[in-house]
Amino acid sequence: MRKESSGKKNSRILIVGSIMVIVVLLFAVIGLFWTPYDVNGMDVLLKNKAPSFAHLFGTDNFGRDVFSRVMQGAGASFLIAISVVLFGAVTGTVIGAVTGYFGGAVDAVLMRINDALAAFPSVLIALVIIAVTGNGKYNLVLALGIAFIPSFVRVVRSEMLVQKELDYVKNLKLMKAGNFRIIFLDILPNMRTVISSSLLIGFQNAVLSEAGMSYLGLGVTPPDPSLGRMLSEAQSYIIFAPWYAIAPGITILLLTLGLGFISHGREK
Amino acid sequence: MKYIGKKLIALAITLLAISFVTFFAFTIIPGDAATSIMGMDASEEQLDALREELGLNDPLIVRYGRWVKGALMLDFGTSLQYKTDVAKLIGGRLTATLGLALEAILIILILSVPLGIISSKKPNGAVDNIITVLTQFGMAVPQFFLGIMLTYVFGILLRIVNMGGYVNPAESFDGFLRFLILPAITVAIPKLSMMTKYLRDCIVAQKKQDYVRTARAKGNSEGRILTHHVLKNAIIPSITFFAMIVADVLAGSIVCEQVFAIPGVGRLLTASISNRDFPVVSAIVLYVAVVVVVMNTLADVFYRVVDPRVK
Repeated sequence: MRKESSGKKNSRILIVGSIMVIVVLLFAVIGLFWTPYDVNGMDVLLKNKAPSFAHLFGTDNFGRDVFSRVMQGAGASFLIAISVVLFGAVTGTVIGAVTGYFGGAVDAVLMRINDALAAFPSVLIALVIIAVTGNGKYNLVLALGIAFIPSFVRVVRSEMLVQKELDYVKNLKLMKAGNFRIIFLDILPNMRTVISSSLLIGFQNAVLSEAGMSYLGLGVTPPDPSLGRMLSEAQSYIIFAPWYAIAPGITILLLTLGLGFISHGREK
Repeated sequence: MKYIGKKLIALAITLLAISFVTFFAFTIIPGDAATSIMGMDASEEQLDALREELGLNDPLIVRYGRWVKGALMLDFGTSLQYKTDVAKLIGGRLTATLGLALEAILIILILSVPLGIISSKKPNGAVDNIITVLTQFGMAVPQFFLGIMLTYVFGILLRIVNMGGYVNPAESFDGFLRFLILPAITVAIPKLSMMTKYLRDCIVAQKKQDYVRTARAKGNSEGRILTHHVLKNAIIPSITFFAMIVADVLAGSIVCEQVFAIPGVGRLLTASISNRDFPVVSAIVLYVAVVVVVMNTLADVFYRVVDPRVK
């Protein structure tokens, strides 16, 4: 009985999470092509106006429509976070799978380095890389992408150590299947559950890190839209126009909390 | 003892590797220190003279050696932006950052342990579910948004906290601690959530073990089983996790110092990256690396002392 009810609850949290993510995704995708107002259209008469039917999330200190800007910012954050996770996941998976499968001295040395890197919060690694390369959205993707590699290496390698000892791999070896064929066509597909949960958590972290870096002024640079940067601009106007900060903040929260709910619901 | 020696050697090697990477990363960047100091319109001869004086014409490895030697004596050179000694500059910012980190860690410890225990009492019960949703919220909320909202609600709407800005501990230690409460809560909430979830999962997993059934069969009360058996076993893995949390608190305070305008090391780092003040950036990176690596080594050693089976 208990088990059943907990299963139901988990699927409910999964559905709630999915809806949250889909809503943000929907507005973000629409925002890439169409927004209710011009994102840079300023109007001095409409400075810091509270939310209304004409401007759902109000207007900012330049009289720009916050809703339009949030839509576009969400799209940008989404694209950056996806690129970061894919970059980190692909590189990390290849490194973790190959070194874990073959083992040996290279594996031992790489894992020492990886463990040392994994001990550092990823935002710090990204900050150091940004310090070297300068900011901008492509450098941000590169910096965060690199910072995300160690966690994927760790997950994939430890799973590889388990998988490579299993009978089906031994069979394949007896059948003289090539090592790389075994790694990429046989073992990796079997790791999809593990990899997809790391992807979900990674995606949540990527959204948070992108927002944080852009908030600090070390991520996305001015003409490009970003929810994090909107918040840092909005902070100065919090007394006159709290909606200007609340709108992008809630949007990020909806996305990250949705992702958190999805990975929690999948856990059991 | 032999184990600790081994760990210390590993620690030294890791730090050396990090210092090596840091030094080279900031050396290969286009644009050199001489131009940053003299300005764009200095003549080529002037620049050359300054480069010679700064030792920038020496081979890389010689410069690295000099940098490490300096670093060991806490001499990181002069800040390009502030024109003062880097070590002194960082030292002046340490108080605020340490105060913030300690307050945040204290909040994490005080709240996560009881919350984790309460949550694990009845897995998937009403209390557990509420705490789970709260921890999910804590892990998902962007730290700066949380900070901005806390200031808005407690500082502007309710006027409970004084928004007067940073208070120097030399002037008023009490005011310093009080000012740091909101920032510390901001830094603590995400980590507190992670720690609570981790502890809860550990305790739930331990409770399914055979030794718990045995202890129960022997007539131990649930409370005694928890304090004498389950918690002891759940605390061990949590220590390693806690070391990670401490590193995360440092990273979290970078953003938080920006939100609350706290003159700490994190804000210095952000500003120095923006201004391409590399002597300061590399020194802070090294400082953070030392903290992270030392914390992890301590956790490993502690782990081993508490649980001698660990290899």
